[in-house]
Amino acid sequence: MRTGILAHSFSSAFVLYKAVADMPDQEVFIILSPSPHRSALTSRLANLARLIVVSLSGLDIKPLRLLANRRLIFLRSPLHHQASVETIRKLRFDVGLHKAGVIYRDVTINAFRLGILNHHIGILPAYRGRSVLEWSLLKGDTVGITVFFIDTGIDTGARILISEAIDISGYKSVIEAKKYLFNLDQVFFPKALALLTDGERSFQLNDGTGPRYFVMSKLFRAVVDRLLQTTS
Amino acid sequence: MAYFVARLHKQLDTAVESQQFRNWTAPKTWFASRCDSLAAIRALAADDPLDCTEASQPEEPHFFDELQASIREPQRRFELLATRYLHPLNVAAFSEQRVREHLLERLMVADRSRIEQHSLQVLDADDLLLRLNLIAIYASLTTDLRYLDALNYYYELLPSAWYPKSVHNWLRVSLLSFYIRALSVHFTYVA
Repeated sequence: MRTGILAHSFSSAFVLYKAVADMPDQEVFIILSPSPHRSALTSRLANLARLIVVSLSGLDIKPLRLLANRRLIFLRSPLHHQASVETIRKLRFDVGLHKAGVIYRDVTINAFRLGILNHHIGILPAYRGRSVLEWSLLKGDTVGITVFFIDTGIDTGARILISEAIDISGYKSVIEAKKYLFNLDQVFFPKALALLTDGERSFQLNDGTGPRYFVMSKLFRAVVDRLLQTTS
Repeated sequence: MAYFVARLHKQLDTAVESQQFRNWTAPKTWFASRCDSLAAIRALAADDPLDCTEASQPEEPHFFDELQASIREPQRRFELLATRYLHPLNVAAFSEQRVREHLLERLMVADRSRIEQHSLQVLDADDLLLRLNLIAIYASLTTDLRYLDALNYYYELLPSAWYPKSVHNWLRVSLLSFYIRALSVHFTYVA
């Protein structure tokens, strides 16, 4: 299976790369699109600097090997741009892994044979949008991870590949628990890729009927933190 | 304005301490209205009685499309909302779900982001405040805490010394009144 990790930053993409690159039957690429706040050139230079730092700090030759093997792709334009879509299409990816802070357009999603997977730190369809960990805790619902194929909406992609409850009772703050859940993408993306490679594709339906949640206020976040402390 | 603020201050002090706000109910279909929406908002904020006679819903099949189309025309949006919600409690009608979600989403995504990344000056104060007032009215009538939390968020976001140069800046005061009411509906006040 040919997989592309879509990201703005080399550092965050490389963490995920290490988790999936050694899986059997996987050809993994990193596709870096310019950060929305930087030009293509400065984004590229910043990412090359990160690559060198990652290599030197971890005494790791993998980043350099990625570059040498042309598995590190620098896009000059945003992901939805025609030139970027063409570049992705030519590489004939089966699946994309979402690690970039963007909402994808159809042209980008369709450039991957199966689509782009997202690792969402909430249970779908009930918890769409932002601060879903906090809202799940506030409402006394299950905290968990959903891996699903995205569409152009906010967490409305119909095909759910994995939906799993996660125990966060050991965490005393929302920030810590959230960090833990986000880092679980290094566990859940490999799981999802294994399911796709094995051909065990039974999807649950995300009917998109759950409400969309938004950034939570400081007041409610403090309440959620207190809830977490009392239950941990 | 000063009279309105003083009256609200006195009324809220009493109401919060004794937890006695006039009971509001959402319309089964639609409430008829004999006054304009801004006068009705002032009456609701002051906890004055407002006639709640059921009527048939106005036929405005394109209202939602027009509302969506007016996202870059704040004055047009203000007019659209003020005309539709002559009786402000109609915002809680079952038929208005799409409108409420749209208002909530605009406030919590696009407007929030513009305020945080730029400043409050980029938004039309009357339009922003009217939408917040409508969301605040609904927050007292629903168990959906997203609406109350939008008020929490804006309470934290808007500077306490914000005096916009707007025609209807009394809407700041009515917003606070509705926010206090919504908090008192959802949470028990402990002195």
